Amino acid sequence: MKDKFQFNPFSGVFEDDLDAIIVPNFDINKMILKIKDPKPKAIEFLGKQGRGKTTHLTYLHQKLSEYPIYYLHKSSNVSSLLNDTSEIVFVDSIHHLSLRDRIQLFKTKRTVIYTTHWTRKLEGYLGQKKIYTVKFKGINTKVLSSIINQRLMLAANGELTDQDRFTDEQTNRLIKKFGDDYRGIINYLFKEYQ
Amino acid sequence: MTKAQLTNKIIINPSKTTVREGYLILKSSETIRVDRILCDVSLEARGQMSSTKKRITSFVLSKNRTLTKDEEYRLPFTIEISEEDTNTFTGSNVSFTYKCTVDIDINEYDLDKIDRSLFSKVKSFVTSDDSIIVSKYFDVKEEECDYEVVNAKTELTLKQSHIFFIIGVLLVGLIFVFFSDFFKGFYLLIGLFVAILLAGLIRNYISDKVGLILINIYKKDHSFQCTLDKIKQVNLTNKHLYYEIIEQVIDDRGTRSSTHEDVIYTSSKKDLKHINSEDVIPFTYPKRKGLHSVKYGDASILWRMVLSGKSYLGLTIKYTCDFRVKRVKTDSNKL
Repeated sequence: MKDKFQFNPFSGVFEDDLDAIIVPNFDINKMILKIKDPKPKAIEFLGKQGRGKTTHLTYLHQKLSEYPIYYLHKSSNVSSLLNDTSEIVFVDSIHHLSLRDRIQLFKTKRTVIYTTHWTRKLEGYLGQKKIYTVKFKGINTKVLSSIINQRLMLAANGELTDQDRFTDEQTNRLIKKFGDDYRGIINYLFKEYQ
Repeated sequence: MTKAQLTNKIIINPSKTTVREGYLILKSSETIRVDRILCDVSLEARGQMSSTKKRITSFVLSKNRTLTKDEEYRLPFTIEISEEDTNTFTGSNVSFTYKCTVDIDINEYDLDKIDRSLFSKVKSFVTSDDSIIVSKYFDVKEEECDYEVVNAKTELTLKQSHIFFIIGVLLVGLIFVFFSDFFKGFYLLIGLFVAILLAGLIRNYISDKVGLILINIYKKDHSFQCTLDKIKQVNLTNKHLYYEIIEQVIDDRGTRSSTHEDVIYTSSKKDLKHINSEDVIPFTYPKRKGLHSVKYGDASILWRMVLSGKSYLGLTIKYTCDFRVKRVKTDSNKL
């Protein structure tokens, strides 16, 4: 099985390869139009860990790479984000900003696109921003099969046979075991293919 | 007009050193002009984390070349991998591989002559700037260099262990059993918090009891040695010293970080029963080559010294410190 692949299909994906493996859960063109629309707003990617929020944020940012993106961590210095002069910013893990900083961010930027575990409607209200929520919850067999098979194709040495591809039945078994924990499924498959 | 079929293949010869020789084979079914052929070599660390790439080298293989119809061209090249970089490696959580990518810029007036339909089948493709990309993964399995420890004087620190948390939970659980009528609902959360607090306190208590352990690690010919300060005063029984080579990845994708570690190699364990301070404890390097210390993004190969022993509570305690080991050319290689 492993000989058929140049690398583990379920390892972390390079940003250059995102286009080849993602199955967007929203209309990307409509989203781009919404972001470019001059009306002030905030767009939140809302969901539990491992549901694909960061992947979608990175993918969307690739289409709008003229604007900055900030991947925040515990030790991130947030001043560069708050002082950024761009009117549109992408922020991954907005919970690493304090409540005050989140309100300031909403007040000073025209459009903020961010990932979060909990809705930030309170900060949106205080920062006078209308919030549009994209929920990352649930998974269906067809989408997961596409994601898995696209990863297999990207890593393959050559053409794949039907036996190499995941059937809906195999995908259903994964969904039964992991639910909509996309990261859990990918990590499980990583071990299987490593 | 017949479309030109461009056959291309990268060949890289096997080698047991960090120098790899190879060549690009090109053959076209029609005469075409090539402006430039660029070769780019990178190391890819792919695993259960954000994968990362490191450029190893980049060079122009050929410029302004005409490929005559049906003539085969072999363009040789040499790739030198630094001693600091890794061998090809496949672990439980990460793989390190090398990729050679060749970018063939076809002359813009000849681009329409190329039959593009074949490319997708051989994993070559035409980019938006009208060049053809061909790539090949290859192994680096250097077996002739030596390991060399980087001298270090450092402190062994108590390894984080779930055992402390489990003891904390057990203690809190006992209190809950005795006072079950009183503790309900929200108090369970307080109990969890207290268990974490207790785990920290037990850890600090044991650490204070055992005391500070300093270790001196230094190279000695084709091996390395250690000395431990005040080892007799260390309040543990059945003490052993050994080292481990560990693959470590930090999965920082998404909103929470997690660390995965797997032991690749464990050295022989040195009994410290009759060891006094300043006594030399010798270690040899593993026979397997290419496991020197490396770090690529969130993936590393670490060397870790471990002092294990039993505390008077009967718990197995581990003190650890990470140290660095380089890959160096052997004396015969240097000549």
